[in-house]
Amino acid sequence: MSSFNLLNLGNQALRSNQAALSTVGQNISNVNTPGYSRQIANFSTLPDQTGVQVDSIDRITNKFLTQQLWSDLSSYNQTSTYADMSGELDNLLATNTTSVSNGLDQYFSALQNVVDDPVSIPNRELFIAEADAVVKRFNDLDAHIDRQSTTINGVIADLASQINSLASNIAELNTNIRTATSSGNPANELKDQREELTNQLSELVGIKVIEQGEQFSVFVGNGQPLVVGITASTMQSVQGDPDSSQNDLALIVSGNKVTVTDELSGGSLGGLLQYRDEALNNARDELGRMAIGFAESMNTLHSAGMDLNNQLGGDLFSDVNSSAQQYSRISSKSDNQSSLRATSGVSIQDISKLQASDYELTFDNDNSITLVRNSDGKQIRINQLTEVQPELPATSFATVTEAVAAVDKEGEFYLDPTSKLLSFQVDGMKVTLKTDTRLSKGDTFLIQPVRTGAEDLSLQIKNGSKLALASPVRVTGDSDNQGSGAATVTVTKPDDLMAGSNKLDPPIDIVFNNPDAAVVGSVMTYTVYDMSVPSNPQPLSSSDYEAGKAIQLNGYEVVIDGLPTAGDRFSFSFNKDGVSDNRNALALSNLQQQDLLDGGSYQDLYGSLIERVGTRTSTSRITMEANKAVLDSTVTAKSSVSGVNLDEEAAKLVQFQQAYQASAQLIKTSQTLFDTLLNSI
Amino acid sequence: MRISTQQQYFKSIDQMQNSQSKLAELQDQISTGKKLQTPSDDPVAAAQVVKLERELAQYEKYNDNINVTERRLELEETILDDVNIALNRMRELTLNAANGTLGDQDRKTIANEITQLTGYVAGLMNTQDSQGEYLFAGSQGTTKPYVLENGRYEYQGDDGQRQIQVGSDLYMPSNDSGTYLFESVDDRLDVAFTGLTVKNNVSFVALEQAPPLNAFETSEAEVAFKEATQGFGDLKIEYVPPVLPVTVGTFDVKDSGGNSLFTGLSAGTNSLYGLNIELSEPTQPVAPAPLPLIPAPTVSEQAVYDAAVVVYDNEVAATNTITLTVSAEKKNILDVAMDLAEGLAKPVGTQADRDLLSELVATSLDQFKQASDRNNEAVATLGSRLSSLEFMSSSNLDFTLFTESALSSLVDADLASVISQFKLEEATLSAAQATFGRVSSLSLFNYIN
Repeated sequence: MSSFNLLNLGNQALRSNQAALSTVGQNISNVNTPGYSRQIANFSTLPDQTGVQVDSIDRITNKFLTQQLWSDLSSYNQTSTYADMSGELDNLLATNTTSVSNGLDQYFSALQNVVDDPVSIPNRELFIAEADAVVKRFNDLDAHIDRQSTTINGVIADLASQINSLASNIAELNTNIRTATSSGNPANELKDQREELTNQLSELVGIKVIEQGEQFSVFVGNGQPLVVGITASTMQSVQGDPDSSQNDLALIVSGNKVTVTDELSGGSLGGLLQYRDEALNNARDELGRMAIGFAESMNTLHSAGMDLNNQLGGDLFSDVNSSAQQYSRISSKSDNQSSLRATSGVSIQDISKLQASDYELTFDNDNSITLVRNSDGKQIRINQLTEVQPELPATSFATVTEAVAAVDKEGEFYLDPTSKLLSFQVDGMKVTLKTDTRLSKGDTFLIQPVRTGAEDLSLQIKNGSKLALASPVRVTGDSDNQGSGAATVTVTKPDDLMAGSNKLDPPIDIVFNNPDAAVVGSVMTYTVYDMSVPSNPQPLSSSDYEAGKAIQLNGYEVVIDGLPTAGDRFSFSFNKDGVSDNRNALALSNLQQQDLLDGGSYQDLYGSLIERVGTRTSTSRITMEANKAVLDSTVTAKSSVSGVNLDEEAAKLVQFQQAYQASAQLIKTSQTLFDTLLNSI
Repeated sequence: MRISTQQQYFKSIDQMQNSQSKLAELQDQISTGKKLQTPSDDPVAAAQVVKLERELAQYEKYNDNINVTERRLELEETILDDVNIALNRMRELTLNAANGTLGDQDRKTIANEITQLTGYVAGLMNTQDSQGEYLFAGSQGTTKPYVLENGRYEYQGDDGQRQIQVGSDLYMPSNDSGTYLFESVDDRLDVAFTGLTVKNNVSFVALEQAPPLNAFETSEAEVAFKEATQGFGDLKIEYVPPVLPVTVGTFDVKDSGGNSLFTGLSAGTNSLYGLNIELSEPTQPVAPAPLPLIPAPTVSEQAVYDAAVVVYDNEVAATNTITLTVSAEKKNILDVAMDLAEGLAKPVGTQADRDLLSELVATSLDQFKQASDRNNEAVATLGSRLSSLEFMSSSNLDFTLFTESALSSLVDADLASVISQFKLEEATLSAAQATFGRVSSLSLFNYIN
């Protein structure tokens, strides 16, 4: 054994401990570097007492914890983004200044003022102003919600470009790590960087990472490749199809563009898409449904009333079925074989059945046309509805228009492939599709019956004297009436009522007659007289009297309640100059309480919308808290493996310093030995 | 477990932030006094709040409506009182006029005063409210209800009544029409015949007896008729064509249900429960019923039959009915007074004049009484409406209080508990801060020299 050996030993020990000390130094200096994994120097003994060497400097990490961290980051960011967006909507709905319910309260309060005093022009103008205010509330709230949708479009584009830059950096690091490791360099710091970038990526979108050797492959959605080895794909925000107002995300993989919107989940992006899908669109649909229900029911009654100028009221709010709106409610997918004609459209038929949802219509073949309600996924096979039949004795419809017009009840449809026409009525809406060429397999249409309902709402009547607060029918009970019968009138067809130069022609008398004593079980009857010539009434019809049953007359129906007796007489004529009459105003005011829509009255619907959004927000906050706790525990677990502890490093510093000093002592000893030897010669 | 230094700091910061956000939330609750800041704080309560606020707004409105209605009804009550005072004065004057010692001039003076009073009452009946709406015109609020036409007041309005919502399911009439209030005096019974024109102008004739033999000979006869026909509805007179060899048809009278009242009446003057009407054969005979062919008709019978068939088809013979509507005409109190004034102004010379005068006075007194009865009835109704409004107002107040307390329990924060929570959170935060100081000052490096 040579004395050089001791020198060598000392030398090696000195270098090894120096390396260990610089590892400690590296650890201490990176104590606050995000993504840094602590490193340790691995010593090994050299054979035949030849000393020590540093085999490698390893980073301490745990693959499973790292994977877990990515998935937890995705979940947490998804819920936190969702909760943020939802909280915004939540605030918006309940604020007094934006709440539609408060607006409606004021509207109906102003309506009660005109009920109290229908002649007063100031009251009428006040009501118009409140009606305008309620319209503005609908419009504003809708605009706020729509603005979120626009914001989401912008954010999606931002996120896509961030994802792209992260993906290309990861691909670049893959390259660098490959080069480094092939030359024997452990590339610890590069790996840390790559992991950190992947952390950031998983905050943006849910990913799946597969480690092949030293390479990361990153996949999004259902396995669409974002990074494979050294190549990264590009994610792009593209215009939505068929709904062009909501951007989609597409992944360009080797030149092919694939839409991945529906497959992405996790991360901020996933949160945004989920929020848009289930909360935002639903809120807008619900608000639109309310607006349409409100406008339609108000219009129906208002058109049946009479204004200060003895004219029928017409629409108070904008017509919910204008042809432009009807057409805008349907859109076709860009890759459809057939294209829609402008005469296609969706009209609202029955607000009590209307749903706050959009629908997807898919054509497979003539016997398989499917409508999917997106709010709950309910599938309706069109061809399982009832096909409309012409009225007997005709065996076929004279014209296509007539056939389409015949579809007027829930659950009816008409399909004529040769005329390239499909019409059906479902959920209170009537959809009519007219195409240039025949529908072909795979053609898909998006139907949004209520999406823009609140945006389209506007006030039609701007002049207080045009408010139709009176009923056009004057009811007079004869002063000799002995019974307690009272007649109420409902206008059913305003146009019929006002047809002809004499409005409400002819004037009508209803007179009650005794039951026929000769016939067992016969009841009181009534006779309807045409009173065109008051001195010579013409009997029009005669029927058994049934309390509460409507008697149909020309354009209106009459219900006589109570207990009329024989000889009692009720007269119905045009309510000319009935300016103090408030019957129609009362009817309008009563709409506030009525369960007109599926789910209750206007404000019930608003209440349940608030409840739904509130529940979603609070649930998402709870989920966010839970995800945060999970994430925290994973971060703690990971950092307890990979994180730097300064006390530990301080101890190691002392440990390796002492070893270093001892190694130096070895060299000194070796020198002393050598000197001793030299001196002894 | 290994603790990394970075994690130590992060954790402390996280915990302090949690505490701070809780503190901020509690501070919000304390400063606003509301625990329901956003719907997500309590979604179910938020939906209820919408409902409760709607109810509150409605109750507030009902109360406004009650006030408006009360004002209107009270105004109406005042006017009716004034009308009643005028009516009483008129009755007094009428009684004075009956005094046989008065001369023509005295009666003329009385007539003048009655005319004056009539103008005054007409003015009351044409009262407008502050908006210029006529109170007693029914639904035709911009139409002046009583207009003088040919010396008599004609009602221009209708019998519309305005209902005001004063409770969630209670509507209160806020006006009464002139028809009900003032067109209250029964006049003569009016007999109307309808259905005179039947197919091919083949008709029979019924006529009201012309004076001196009136349809009703006396007003007692009218009363008797009304009582006897109560509940019959409109009477129907049917012509029963003759069956040869009889050539004169008869008449049946039925009630509105087709139940027979009289059969086999012959043409001429008939009395139906005191109603005198003149029935006559149709201007052209209605086709007779088919002849019995066995035994064979005589030549002359056959000829008559054939001729009839040629002229009338069988359909014509089906039914020939006249509907008889008897109804009381209504007269307004202004016209009663005008009639009286006119009668009093006439000079009285003969016994016949004196008889007419005393009948006029008697009728007028009776009619004033009717008017006054209706007035009292209306005032009583007004009173009951006003008291209903009072009841409604107090029950609306109860509902409002109830709703407000329900709302408060959903929305308002319990300050005592919120403040104590705040204290607790405050203590937690300051403890966390103190611990952080201690933990961060611990380092091995402090001991290595």
